[in-house]
Parts: sequence; C-alpha cells; structure tokens
Amino acid sequence: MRGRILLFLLMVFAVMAHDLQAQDRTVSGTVLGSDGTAIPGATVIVKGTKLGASTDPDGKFSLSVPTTASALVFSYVGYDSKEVAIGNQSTINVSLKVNTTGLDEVVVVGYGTQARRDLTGSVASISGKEIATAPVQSFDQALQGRASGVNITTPNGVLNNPPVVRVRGVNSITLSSEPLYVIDGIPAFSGNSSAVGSVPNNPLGNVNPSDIESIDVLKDASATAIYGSRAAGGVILVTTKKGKKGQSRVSLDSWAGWSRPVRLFDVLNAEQYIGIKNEAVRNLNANRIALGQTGTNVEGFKPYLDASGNPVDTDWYDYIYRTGFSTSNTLNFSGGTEKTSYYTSVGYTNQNGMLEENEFRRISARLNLDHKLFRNVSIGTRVGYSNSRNQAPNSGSTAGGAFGTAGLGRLPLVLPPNVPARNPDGTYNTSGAGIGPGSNLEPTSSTGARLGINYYNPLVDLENNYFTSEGNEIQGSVYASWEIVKGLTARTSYGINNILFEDKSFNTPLAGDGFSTVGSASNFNRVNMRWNWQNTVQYDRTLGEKHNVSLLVGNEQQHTQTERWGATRTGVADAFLTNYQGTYTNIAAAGNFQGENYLLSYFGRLNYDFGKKYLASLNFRRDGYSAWANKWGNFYGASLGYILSEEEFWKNGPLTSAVNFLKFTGSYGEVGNSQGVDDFASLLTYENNLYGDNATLYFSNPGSPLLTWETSKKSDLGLTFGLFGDRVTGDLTYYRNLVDGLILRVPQAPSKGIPGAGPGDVGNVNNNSYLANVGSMRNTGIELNLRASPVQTTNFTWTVSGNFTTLKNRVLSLATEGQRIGTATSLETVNYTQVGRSVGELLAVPSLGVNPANGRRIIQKADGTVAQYNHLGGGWTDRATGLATAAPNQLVDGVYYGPTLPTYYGGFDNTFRYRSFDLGVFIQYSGGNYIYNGTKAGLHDQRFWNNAVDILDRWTESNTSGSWPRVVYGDNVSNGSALVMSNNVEKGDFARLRNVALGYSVKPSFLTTYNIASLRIYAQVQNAALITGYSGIDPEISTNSGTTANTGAGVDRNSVGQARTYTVGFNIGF
Amino acid sequence: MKSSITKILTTGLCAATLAFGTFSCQNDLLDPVPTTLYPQDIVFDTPARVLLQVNNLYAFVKVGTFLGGRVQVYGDVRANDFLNMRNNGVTALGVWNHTLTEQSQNDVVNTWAAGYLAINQINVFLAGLETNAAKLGATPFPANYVTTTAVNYQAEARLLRALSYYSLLQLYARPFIDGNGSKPGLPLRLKAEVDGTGNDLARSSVAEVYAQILADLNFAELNLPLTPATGVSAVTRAHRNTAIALKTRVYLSMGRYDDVIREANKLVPATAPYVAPTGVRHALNPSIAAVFAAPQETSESILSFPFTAQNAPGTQNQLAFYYRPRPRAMASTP
Repeated sequence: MRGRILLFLLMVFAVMAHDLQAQDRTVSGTVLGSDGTAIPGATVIVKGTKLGASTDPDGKFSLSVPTTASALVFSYVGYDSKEVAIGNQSTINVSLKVNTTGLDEVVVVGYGTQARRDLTGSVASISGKEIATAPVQSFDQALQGRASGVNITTPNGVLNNPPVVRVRGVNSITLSSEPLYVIDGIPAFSGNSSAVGSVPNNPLGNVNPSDIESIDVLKDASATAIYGSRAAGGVILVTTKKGKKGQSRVSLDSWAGWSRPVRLFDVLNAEQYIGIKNEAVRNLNANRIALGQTGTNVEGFKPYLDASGNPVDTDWYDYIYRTGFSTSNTLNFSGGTEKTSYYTSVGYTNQNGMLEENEFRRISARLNLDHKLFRNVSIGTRVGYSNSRNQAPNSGSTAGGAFGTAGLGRLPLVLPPNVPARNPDGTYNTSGAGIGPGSNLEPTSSTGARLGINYYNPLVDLENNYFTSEGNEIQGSVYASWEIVKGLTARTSYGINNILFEDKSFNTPLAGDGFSTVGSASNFNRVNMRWNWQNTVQYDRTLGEKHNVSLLVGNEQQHTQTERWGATRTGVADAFLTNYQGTYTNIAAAGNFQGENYLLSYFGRLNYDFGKKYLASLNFRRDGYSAWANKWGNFYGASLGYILSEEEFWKNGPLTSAVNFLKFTGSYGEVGNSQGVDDFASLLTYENNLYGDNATLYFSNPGSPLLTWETSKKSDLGLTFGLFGDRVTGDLTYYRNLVDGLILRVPQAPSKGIPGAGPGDVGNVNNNSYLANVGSMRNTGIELNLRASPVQTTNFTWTVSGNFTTLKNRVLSLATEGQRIGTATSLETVNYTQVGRSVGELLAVPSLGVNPANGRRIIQKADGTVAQYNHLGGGWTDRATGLATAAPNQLVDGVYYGPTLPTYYGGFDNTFRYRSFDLGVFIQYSGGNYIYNGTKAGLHDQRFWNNAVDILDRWTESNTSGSWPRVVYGDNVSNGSALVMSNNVEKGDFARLRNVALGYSVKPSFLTTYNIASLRIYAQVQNAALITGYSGIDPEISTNSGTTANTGAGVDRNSVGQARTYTVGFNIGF
Repeated sequence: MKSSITKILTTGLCAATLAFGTFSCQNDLLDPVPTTLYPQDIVFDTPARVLLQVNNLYAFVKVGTFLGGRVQVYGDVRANDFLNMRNNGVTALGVWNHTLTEQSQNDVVNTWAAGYLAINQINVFLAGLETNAAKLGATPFPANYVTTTAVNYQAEARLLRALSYYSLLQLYARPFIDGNGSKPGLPLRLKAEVDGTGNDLARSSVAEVYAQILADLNFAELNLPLTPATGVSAVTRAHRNTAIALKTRVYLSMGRYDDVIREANKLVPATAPYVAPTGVRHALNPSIAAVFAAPQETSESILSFPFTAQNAPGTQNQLAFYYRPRPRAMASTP
C-alpha cells in the first residue's frame, strides 16, 4: 500500500511538472459589468489552456500568458462569457453583459453538474437569492410557486409545519409522495418528526436558508433515474454556498418581521349569540309541540355580568392570536485563494407566530471548505450544525387534531361569547375539564342544570400546557477527488446526518386534556443516525473534435437507524409541578420505536453529444433495499435532445433573429418509490404488549413477502427556446407519469381478524389487510416557463418570469374491483379514492339549499327523492309528499366533487430596478380544485356552538329567502356537522400576492469611504393579499398531512390559516 | 510518461476494486434484524414465551372496543336505558340510533373487528400449539408439558373463543329463541388466518355458532385446571368454574333453562352456605361495595379483566366514562 501511495505522489508531481511551460508576458486589466461596476471573482482563462486567474475585489486581474496564446475568455456566473483576442495588448478591459437566459447556468444533477444548454432531462432551478430573505422556517416553504411542476401547499399556519410538496402530482397512495431531499449530496431526513402531536418539527428547518446557493428539482425519469428507487416523487437537490476565488467577504443578513392572522371568520357577539340560540330553542319547542310532545326546553342563553356589572362579550381571538415578532441574523465569511476556498456562517433566528405560544428558534453554524491538495487532488468538507426548538400550542391543525376539543383553530369558533375566560375573582373559568358556562343553562334540562360545555378554556391551555420539539442536527460530509488523468476523476465522499430530537408535552390538571388524568407529562427521545458513502468515477472526453462523452459510474451505500423511546406520566403530585421530572403516580411507556434500513446501490450515467447539437443521456441504477422481501431492483432513464438552432442552416436562415435557440428533448424511464415504507414491512412478526401487569406476545403483522417498489414510468417531451436574442426564453414540457405497482392495503374479510396494529387499536387501517403492489395511477400535464426582460436600460430594468403547470390525475386500478378507499379526517370521512377519478375526491350529498316554504335543508337523494330535514320535528321527510323518508347517506346518495388537487398552478414574478431601487412582486396561483370546508359546517351547527355572523340570514317566517335553514336547537345535521353535504364544498381557485419586496442598494461610491462593499436595505410583505372565492380562512389549508395527505387533500376542518408577515431587513457586505 | 499513466490507471483500478470488494461485505445489512419484533419460528421456543401468548389472548378479548368497555355499554345503549343528549358520534350514537352507515368512527364495524381480531389471535395460538408439538415435547419444556400445560392453555384459548363468539352473537344475530337458532349467525372462524387466502366463508346459523361455543366450553370445563397454579390469578385467568359459569349464561341466552340449572348446580349447592364445592370457592360477597373496591379480587369475581395506567382501555371506552355521574373530559367531538 505504501508503495502505491509513493507511486501516486510521484505521479502527481510528474503530471504537475509536465504542465509547467514557458510563460513570458503579462496581461492585466479590469472586468466590469454592463452597469459599470467592477466584477470581483470573475474568471479569466487563456483560451485552450488551463491557465487562468480571477479578478480582485476591484475587478482587476493580472495574468502571465504564453506567447502562443491567442485569446482570453472572461466569465462570471450570471453574465455572458466573452472572448477577447490578445494580439499585442498588455491591457485588456472588458465589460460583461448580464445573462438573462439562464441557458449557460450550471445545473446541479445527481452526482454532478451540467450546463442547462446541454440538459436533456427536466430540471427546475431556484437560486438561493430568491428564498434567502423569506421569513420562513424551512427552505421548502419558500419554494411555493417558484418552479413549474412543483406544487407546494402550506397546510396551516403553525410554525415549521412541513409544507405538502408534490412534484408533478401525487405519486403514491400509501407511501410517501414527497420528493427525496438531498443536501450537498447526502439524502436528508424530512417530514414531521415530532412525537408530540401538537407541535410539528420539520427537520429541513435545521438548514439556514441563507446558506443555500441553489436548489434544483429533478422531475423526469432521465434526471431522477440516478436516484433509482427513491426518485418517484422527484428529487430536490440543495447546494450550500462555497467561497469564491479571490473574494474575501464578510456579510451580515438580518431581518425583523411581524406576523398576524388574516381573514379570520366573523362570529356572533354575545348579544347575537343569545338571540340566535334562544330562537333555536323556541323553534325546537315548536317542533316538539307540533309532534304532540311537550315543548319544555329552556331558553337558557343569558348574559353573564362581569365585576362591574356589564355583560361579558368575549372575543376569543384576542386570547389566541397575536402579532408575533421575529428576527433572523446570519453572519458569514467567505473567500478563497487559488488553493483553498471557504464559506462559514453562523445564524440565529427567533420567530414568534401569530398564535400565542407558537415559537421557532434556530441556532446554526456551517463550514464549507474546498482545498486543492495537489494540482489534481482536491479535498473538502461540508458541515452544518444546528439546534432548533419548536413550540406550539394545541392548534388542532396538525395531524389527527381536527376534532379535538382543545384545538385553538376551533375554540374561538365554538365557544360562547357570553362566557368569560376568567371569573371576576381572576381565577380561570372552568367546569371540570371544560369551560364554565357563565349564566347559560342547559336547554334540554328540566332541573335548571347549567349548560355543559365540553370544550376547553383556551387560556388555561395557553398559560399552563406546553408542547415542544427540539432538534440537534449535524449534517455533513468529507470528500476527496482525484483527477487521475485528464478527464478521468475519481471521487469519494462520506457523509453523516445525525439528528437528536427531544419532544415534550405537559397538560395541566386544572382543566382541559390533562383534567381526567390529573395532569400528564410526556418526554420522548429520538435519534436518527445515517451514514452515506459514495464513490464515483467520472470520465469526460472529446473524441474527434465533436464527440463529447461523459461517463459516470458509482456506488453508494446508505445506512439509517432510527430509535425513539419515551413515557407518559399521569397523576401529578401537585399542580405546582410543570415538567416530566416531577412526581406523578403513574407512568406508561409511550412512543417507543426502532427501525433500521440499508440501501446498497450501483449506478451509472452516460452523456453524449455530437457538436453540442445532438444530445443523449442514459442513466441506470441498481438498488438493493433492506425493507423489501425482493431486495434488488433496476431503474433507468434515457433521454435524447436536438438543438436545432445549432444547425448551420438555422444559423444562416431567416428565423435565427427571432428564434436564436431551439432545443427539443424527450425522455423515458422507470424509477421507484420506497420512501415511507416500514423498515420491516415484509416480515411476519410477533410483538409484546401487556395484559394488566403481565407481559404478552401477540401475532402483530402478517408481513408482505412479495412486497417491492412502486414503479413510476415517466415520459417527458420538451421544447426549450430563446427568442429575439434571448430577450424571451422559456420551455414547454409535456409529462406523463404512470405509477404501477402502487402499494395498497388489500382488504380482507373483517372476520379473518388479520392484525395490523396492537391490541386496542381496532380502528387502525392496517387491520384486516395486507400490503401488496396492486394499484396504478397516472399523472399527466404540461409545464410552461417563460422569462423575459421587456425593459433593459441603464437606469431601469424590468424582468418578468412566470411558470404554469397543469395536472390531471387518474386512478387506474385499486386492490379490488369497484373499491372505494376512504381517507378519514379524524372522525369524519370526506375523501374517497375510486378508479377513474382523481385521488381523494370529495363525496358529499347534494344540497339543494333551503326550502323557502318551511326553512328546512333540502337534499337530493340518489333515488330521486328530495328529502328535507326538521330536527326533532319529524326528521327526514319527502318534500313532495311530506311522508317520512330514510336519511340521506353519504355513500349511497353522495356525488363526487373533485379533484382536490389543483389542475393548474404556478407563479408569476416581476422584478423592477430603477437606479438603486428594486421592487419584486411575486404572485402564486392555483386552481381547478375543490375544498371541503368542514369548518363552515361547524360554524353553523345548532348545538350551543357559536356561529358565523351569516347565520343571521337564516330562514324565518319573515325571511323566507334566508340562505341558512331555520335554526333548531341541537341540530347538527342541517348544516353539515353530521352529514357531508355539497353546501360546504367550494372551489379552491386563488391568486396570492405571496411576496412584495422593495429594496434599496446604497451607492458603492458612498460605501467605499467606510470600507463597505455593498449594502441593501429592504422591506417586504409575505402573503400580502389573497384573491379567492373560497369562503374559508385560506384555500391552502389542508387538515390532513403526512401520508394521509396523498388521498386526503382538500379538507379544511378547524385549522388555522397562514399569517401575513411584514419584514424589514438589510444585507451588508465588507 | 505513457507507462506511468498505465501505472496510475492500474493503481486506480486496484483501489476501486478494493473499495468495491469491501462494499459487497455489507450485504448482510440488507437483512436487518428488528430488536423488538419476533419472527414466527421462535415464539414457541420456551415455556415462558408460550405463556406470554396465553396472556395475549386475554389482552385481545379485553380491549376497550370489545369486552373492556364498549360491548357492555352497547348492551345498555341498545336496550334504550340511555338518553342521547350530545349526538356525539364517538360515544355510541350509532348503536343508540341503530344506524349501520359506513363511517370512519363506526361502533358497529369496530366491535365486529375487535371480536374477530381476538378470535384470530386464539386460532393462531391453537394452530401454533399443534404445529409446534415437537418443540413442546423437548427441552426446555418439562416432560409433561404437552399433556398438561399445553392442554390447559388450549382450554383457556377455547373458553375465550367461546366468550368472544357469545358476545358477538348478542349484537350481530337474532336471539336463539327466535326460530330455535335457525336465523343467520356469524362466520365461524376456527382456522388460523395469517395471509391473503380464506376470505370466503358463509355465515353459520345461530344454532351452529352456539354449538361451537358449547363444544369449546365443554372442552374447557374438562381441561382447565381446577384451581389456577401458584402465582396465577384466579380472577384474571380462567379455571374450571369459569367455564361452568359461562355455560350457565350461554344456556340462559339460548333459553335452555334446565341446562342452566344443571350447570349452576355445579357451582352453587342447593343448601347454605352457597359456596362452590369444587375448584375456586366462588361465593357471593357479603358487601356489594367490597366487590368493586380495589383490588377487586373477591370470591364473587369469576373472570375480570385488569387495567393499569400502562394498559388502559383507551379514550372514551372506559366504563367510568359512561357510568360515573360527573363532568368529564371529552377528547373529541365531531
């Protein structure tokens, strides 16, 4: 071995010596941008050699060139390259033009990079600049509307809740449809990782968005096949910043922001509430009397007087929402010499959401180093560390929380306004677990009992309970690359991604969820450990001038271990105690979990082009994955491209001035989806449990011995163009993705008793089913990107870019003929997936509105009957005959409303520059989908719940055209609480002014006196405006998250919406 | 120069081969062994492990959705002893209404599932005793294990199966006295179900299900230990008198009153002091309050299911939630 190292070193010197040549004259000069400012760090290369230099902070360079040299090539990222003949000159000053086309930009692809011009796969790129100042917790939130084919929804307004990301539609039903995230080459952990339901924790929030250089989204088979079995949902590659040669820079990015809620529902005030509820009781009595019963219900809704004798009128929003203040600061140093470049940063952000007690804090540090050890050997490292702390109240907006009686999204809508949060003596207003009823009496009680309110007092929860999730992550890699001979490079990279989570919850015994257990505290500890080792060999060669070949072969291994343990303690010794460490009378294990998986892969890529005109790419990957019974699978993607505008006849033809660039591409391939499958899904297993104090052992899972990858067959046809000298550029793509072998639960006869969960968890969907690759689904659509610079003058520029994507999703086959898969939103099931439709369409009985004759809700039944409902006054009757009829049933009488996935979406970005001012206006839009506004059903429920103000337009004898039915106390049917009806189904089209930013860059001439390189100050508004016909808080709300989001999209049930955030900030560079 | 390039290439190739060589060694990582999940082939390896499986049969029967709460509540709710005030679909509204709609929260569907999940655990265990007979006859199992302990376990399993079928019959079929058991009963599952086969099975008649229940209970009566072994609770595990007591209830439901008397006579002598003459000496407790006072292990208890903080019946399943008259927490309301 020692011999080999010696030999290796000798060779290195030999090669270096070989390149030493006579250099006998010096050329110097300055590189400026077209606006006259110096460009530091620009590259100057002697044409046909590797000799070069980069410009200093003033844009100056000086370079020794051999006598044989003919020209210099100047280049800089974001500018068009320029070639200048040297001749006899010793001073060469050049001015580079800003490149607006992006065709020459470098695109990060799997295990390498490529010029966009040569790309035949489908890759969307987002620059780090576009997201750096966004007031978000994780970078994925900031990608909304930024890239075609990438649909991102913010399902609620809780901080660091993972957004729902879909690359070209929903790609799975039971597995994850999320893309694979790869940060600096190492696959990252993503998705909510918190063990405490109320507080989400997206591990991608550990990355400081200011550290990101670029984000590239791989979409088609050609681009994703290199990631094989994990690529079906697309791949998002994140590249962090690195130092630039010749530039030593210190930069500070800071912003401060204020978040507040928008579009909250208007609910009844105390006086209106008392009026409506007592009217409902009177109507109930009338209904009873009409049936010959006694109408003795009590009009029990009464004002409650505060200490000074005034009636209480509580605005519950005041207790729950606030203006949250946030700050973020990132300080970075970067720079580089010929041999070494570095980027290092520290960041601190502390964000307070619009919900009380909702906080996100991140402390992060990063060190990226690249060093040329020898002329042909480079080593380097990418290391990021961060600590993030998430805290959220029980918002009822995270998975499974929709119908909780503690959810802060729901409480201000249902709680009576004539009830105070505190009693006159300052104590909390509670009654048992719930809130005290004030003066209200139970209408159905004949003994004058006080109204029983099972909902909680939010103030008790907010001031005493807490839910936190803290993560400590170290993510990084070291690499070495060796250019063995010219064009042949071997690279090895070893990375780790370890996260330690600590999740805590505490529920006070005073009232609320902790009341019946006399307080409870849970702590959970979770460790995610991953190592990843990649070895690649890349060979680039030009044969016979025009044949360019690039070959990559590699191997990757990835090992992941996940462990979580925890416990819940109940029965707190004293209300004085507020944490897990205190004394409790009971303890039970909770959240225990152990997982392990391993991925072993071999892959290769061959890129070929002939004269930069005819392009071809072939990608292959063979993956072995531990979770499957059949371990090994092969994946591939192939693409072809033809740059018509490179043909001589085109260049000399009449169209060239109008169409200066034109490229056709096409690709096909098969990739897999393994993300989200249980580590031990293929095994028949037994597990332990308890019978009282004794341990048990039970048959827990039948296993799926034939289980394997879901296969995604992707085809793609594209056209890329540059018009009028690249004044307008864009691309148009048609995509088709056929997902085959979808993993579904094959339902079994319920009497077989096949287990899929522990004893007691009877309602678990895994019971009485086993997993098999049986379904198929198709996504098709087009994507369009356009970018233009309508105005380009010295003082004023206007750049506009937009993207547009369509999506059509069709389920082609499911586990059994005629199967209808319901996806529950906690206690209610609205979404059903059926062959021939889009996934998770809404099934609702059609409402025909309110019968003007009697104020009853009318429903169209499937058998043609029009039914009307009168609560406790005869129930369902046939409108035509007045005779009793069976209650409408969602499954029998429901009709589909869909899809729930937007059929079109995109973004529209304008950037204006006038002298030193810049203005960015970014609009995100989406539409074609339906939303089930379940929140609206609850807002018109006629139990003691408060109602939206529009209930005032209910049917009465004098208002027979009222838009809501006659109110009858206790009626939870007419407006949708107990029956999913079309009245609560709405269209989800919207356009959102996602971001407006105004910036001012202070003039360099002014700054240089203070040794400041650049200074920009800005103000921006996030979620500045929303245009939509949707009547809920936010058309993006999605109550279902995680894998239930695949088939449970488009449900809005008691969730909180997105905040509007105002930020001011500055970026200063030295 | 040329030769040194060749050498470099050779070196590179060797290094690469070496590297790839080490990778293949990691193939065993493709079969990770879970640390908390047991493969099927080891669950009958030791007497202690088999006992864990016996405990489990009780655990599945006593889940909150089945005999740990809901079945008792549903019996009362169906009998119209309750007033519905909240229309809360989570707390037995469907049973109270006698509605059978397919919903995510469905009492009717969930109770059926819970009953049959327990029955299949029992059938899988009974099949396991047979297929592992050879194992049970060798060390570390005691010499008489197959003829005594294993038979006792079989009897416990069959008693629980009878109890499960009996409980489901009360909710999902017409009473025996309606047509003398000729009405449709339940699918009678007696085989272990562990894969995707065997979905088709017609309903047996009520009489056929009762016949199986009685066959199981008669077997249990003959093969259960007279009194539980040392260290085994007489309250939370079945013994011979448990089988007899359950038979009285079964015969009662069938309207076979002579058989009720015959079985009951085995437990309660015709003369005072009315204490069971054999096995566990069951007798009525002088104080009704003492029966329900912790640790609830009087001689009046024939079979009880234990609950602990770690092994709770689950939210809104616990009997106290329905029968204790005071305000309480309600975790969710649709």
